Amino acid sequence: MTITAPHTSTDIAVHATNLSKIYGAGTTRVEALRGVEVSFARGKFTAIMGPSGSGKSTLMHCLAGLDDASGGSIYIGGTDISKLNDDALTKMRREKVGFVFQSFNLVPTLTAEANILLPLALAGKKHDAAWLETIVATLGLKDRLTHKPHELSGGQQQRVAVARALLTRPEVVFGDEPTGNLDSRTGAEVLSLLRSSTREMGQTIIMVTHDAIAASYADTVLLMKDGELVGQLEDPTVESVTQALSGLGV
Amino acid sequence: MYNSVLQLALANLKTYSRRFIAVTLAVMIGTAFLGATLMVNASATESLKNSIGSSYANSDLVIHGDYSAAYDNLDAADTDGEPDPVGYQLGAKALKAVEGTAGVSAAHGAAGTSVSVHAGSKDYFASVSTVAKDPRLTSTVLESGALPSSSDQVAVDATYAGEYNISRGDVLDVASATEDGKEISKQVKVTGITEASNDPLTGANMSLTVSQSLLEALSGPGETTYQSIALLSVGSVDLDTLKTSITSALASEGIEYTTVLTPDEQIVKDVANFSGGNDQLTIVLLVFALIALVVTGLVVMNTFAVLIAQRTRELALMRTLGALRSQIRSSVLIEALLVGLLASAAGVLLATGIMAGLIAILGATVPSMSFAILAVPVQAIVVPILAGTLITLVAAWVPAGKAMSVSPLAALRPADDVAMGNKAGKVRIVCGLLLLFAGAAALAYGAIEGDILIAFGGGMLSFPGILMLGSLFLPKTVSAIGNLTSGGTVPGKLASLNAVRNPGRTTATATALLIGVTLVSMMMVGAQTAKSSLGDALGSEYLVDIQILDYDQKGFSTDAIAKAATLDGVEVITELGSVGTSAEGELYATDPALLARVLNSDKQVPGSGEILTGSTHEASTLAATSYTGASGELKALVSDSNSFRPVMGWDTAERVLGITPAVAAEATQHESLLWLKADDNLDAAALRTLQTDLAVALGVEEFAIGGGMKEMQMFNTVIDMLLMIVSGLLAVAVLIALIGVANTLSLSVLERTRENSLLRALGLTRGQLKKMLATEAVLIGGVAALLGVLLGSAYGLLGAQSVMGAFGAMSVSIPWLQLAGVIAVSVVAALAASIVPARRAAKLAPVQGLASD
Repeated sequence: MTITAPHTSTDIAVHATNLSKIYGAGTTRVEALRGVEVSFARGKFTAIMGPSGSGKSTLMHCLAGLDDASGGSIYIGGTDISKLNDDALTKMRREKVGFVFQSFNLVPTLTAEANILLPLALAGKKHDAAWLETIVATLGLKDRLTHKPHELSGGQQQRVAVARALLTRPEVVFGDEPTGNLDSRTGAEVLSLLRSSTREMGQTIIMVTHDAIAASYADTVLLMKDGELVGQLEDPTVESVTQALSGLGV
Repeated sequence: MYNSVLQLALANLKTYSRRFIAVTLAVMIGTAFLGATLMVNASATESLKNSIGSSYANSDLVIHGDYSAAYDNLDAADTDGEPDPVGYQLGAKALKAVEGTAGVSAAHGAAGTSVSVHAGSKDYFASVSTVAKDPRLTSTVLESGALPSSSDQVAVDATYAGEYNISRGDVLDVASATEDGKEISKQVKVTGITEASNDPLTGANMSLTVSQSLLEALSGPGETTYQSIALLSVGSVDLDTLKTSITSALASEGIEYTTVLTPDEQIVKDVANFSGGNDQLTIVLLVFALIALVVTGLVVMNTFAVLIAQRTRELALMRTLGALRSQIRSSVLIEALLVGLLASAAGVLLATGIMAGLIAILGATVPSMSFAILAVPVQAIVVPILAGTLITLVAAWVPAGKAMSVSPLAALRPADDVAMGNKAGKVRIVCGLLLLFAGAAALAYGAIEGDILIAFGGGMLSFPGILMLGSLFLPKTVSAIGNLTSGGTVPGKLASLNAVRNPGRTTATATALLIGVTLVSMMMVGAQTAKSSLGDALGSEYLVDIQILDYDQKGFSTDAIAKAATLDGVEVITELGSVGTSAEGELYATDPALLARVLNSDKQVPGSGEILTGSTHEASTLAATSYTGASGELKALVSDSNSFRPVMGWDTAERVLGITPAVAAEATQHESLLWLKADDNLDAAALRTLQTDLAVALGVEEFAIGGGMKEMQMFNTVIDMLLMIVSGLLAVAVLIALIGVANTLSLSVLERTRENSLLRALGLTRGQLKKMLATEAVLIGGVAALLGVLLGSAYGLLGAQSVMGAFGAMSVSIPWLQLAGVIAVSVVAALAASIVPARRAAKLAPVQGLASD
């Protein structure tokens, strides 16, 4: 079964065809992804949901170039990343992809500002000062830039991670349970920020989550089970997501 | 460009500075060792320059006659086998030629003569130096008064002026012997006191500064010759060009064989002549410094491996955010570079401080060493810093490679402890085995053939081989011994599991200690065996411990001998009576039973009809004539001792020469000797006391007491001293390795914070946790020490065998106590190393640890 997010061919940020991922061999062989076909529209906030072991994290890792796919192709901004070597893949990541993780988002030895600037610093590029100011102001981090991660609250740390992801104006920002470690109020704050970045900055966001409330902030929800895409919700609400999940037997 | 890699490295160093303490210490000690070694040589040279070279230190060039070059170029005219002095002696002609060379502003010939000085009622020996026309070339420095300006004036150095009560205004008689044997004497007045000479060659004598005219007067009618000519250039001239033009100017005067050197070059030459062994000392020290640096490298490698294991998630995050592999490696290497650079610089400072302190102590406590000064040559700064930095970089290379291969996905995994696998590569095992077998074969061959060079090469090959194979046997041994000693307790079992949890790390930690312990125990066993083998060899060389001569030929009274026999340390005493003469000189006889006991070798006891001779006797018989005129032939038993008074039993003397003790005692030429065997355990001080006591008891002067014991003790003292110095030097390597143990453990504790907290939460008490970590440290330290002692003993025995092989049979002797001491020190130190990390781990509340990321 193939499910494709609504798009026209010109505004696709990320696209995968016939994507498969196999771990192990023989009796320990696990097919984490079975020929997934998926496209993510530019400027949209998409959530991927599914029960544990459904392959949602594997899908994200492959799409982001963090893990090699066993078969199929992945295109980010028109580039087939499945054919890139490690260095090219790394460069692609720092130019076209941003990340927000559940935890351990920041390099503990660097200040918040240095963390935000890290991907550009690694690329040896100058940052756009005005853009940095806009992001920092939007995320309310102005007074926190000189702090080390351990001097920041969980929500502040996550906002620093979001700022870092947005600074490079990447093709796509991947979020891996970005609110998993936050209390509900701080979590809602971060999710609102992510959503407004799609609305106001046209940022493409793909987020993996198992939290129906988090998913309800997305424009589209993709449902996965046993390594395949099995459903899709547009303009989801907490109720519609919960219902769809229970339809998967979760 | 904004350098993120450098920034990251700096941030890591700043944040985790405590984790770098051990690396810094290790590198610091290693480089301090290297720096101090280089400073020893330079300081020795500089000190000698300050002393030997003080006479020409201020000049631009120094000219010496080159006797050996002249000797090498003997021609037919030199019928007496000696070169013609014209070719190498420096005299007035030479001085004039030098002064006339373009580019020379002033030249001064240094006198090589000495005179006798009559002051008060005594005669003293004095070496002479002259006042130069150009004051810059005068080597003596005035303390008070004035330098001599005419032929009836002299200046005396302060030390001897004080000692001989000479003061300004005194009149001295100065006399010299001329070549034709006449004595020339002059009365001179002391006009000045000069600073004492630092020159060990002349410092032993009074030093007299005289005017050129007095020197010429004392030299007599012959030409004045100079020991050397020092000169100052005009300044603008190139010294190499000047050297060439001086050499040719001298050659054109017939003085073909000369050396023209700068003061520094001359110093090097003089120092080589004077000290001889200085460079060898440096080389030996450098070998030890190298060992210390290799151990340092292992500790650094280990530390970085652990630091990187701890930082895996962080590195993975960096990779996710777009850090290239090369950037990750650069960041780790920059950290290593900075740490290495700072630690090495600190090491050089430490070395300078230690050397300055040592030299200050030496100068203050040993008066004859007051000229010692500290020299810190550029190379003693640059080489250790380069070496220390390079070692750190090289050692960090492998861990940096592992950092590079961290997968970006590792950032997303929960915080497992990401073990850094370190399997022994097949290549390494094959290389290790090849080295081991080749080395062992060479070592065995060297030991059997008594060839130390081959054995040394074998050792140099096999030891790295064993170290390369370390990952095969070290973790297994640790684990086996851990299982044996765990006693079934949970902390014990956990400790032995933890100790080998990361085989690579355990191997590297243990290897560092293994190197040090192996080398220390090798030296101990080797020295002990060499000492005991030498003892056997020396026993036959020095057959008699103590020999007392009867210079006044009055003989020894029976009472005196009985009294001497009761002294502490005397085991056997026997009197030898002169019975006649032979081609080997005076012959002696003594009681055969006592003779057998007094001699140090039981293989060299003369039987009936035999005489024991010195090694110089070659024939199998010796013709003897008694002083009563009887003659006979004795069977010669040739000993290994080269200066030895031939001796036989009274039974033989009576049978062959008809001399009995009673006959001998009545003879007018009666001369007697006493031979003593002393307690083997006497030390040098006790031996001196015994000598004094013997002199009193027997009524002889102390110089009449000789014998081989002093020499044997000297040999033993030399070996002991060498052993002490070598062990001390190697102890540095052991110290660094122990820092490594503490470091590995404290990093492992950091790494296992979560796990230790879990154990605490599950009911492990603080005491048990501490005990667990202590056990782990002791296991690694103890096993490394044990294996090191075993390995070192094998090397020591084989080494001693290959050295002693040439001298004959080796007697194996193992210093059990010292070896046990080495193991004990390692275990205690490992235990001590666990204290701080264990305390830190125990302080953590169970919940805290679980929450940590």
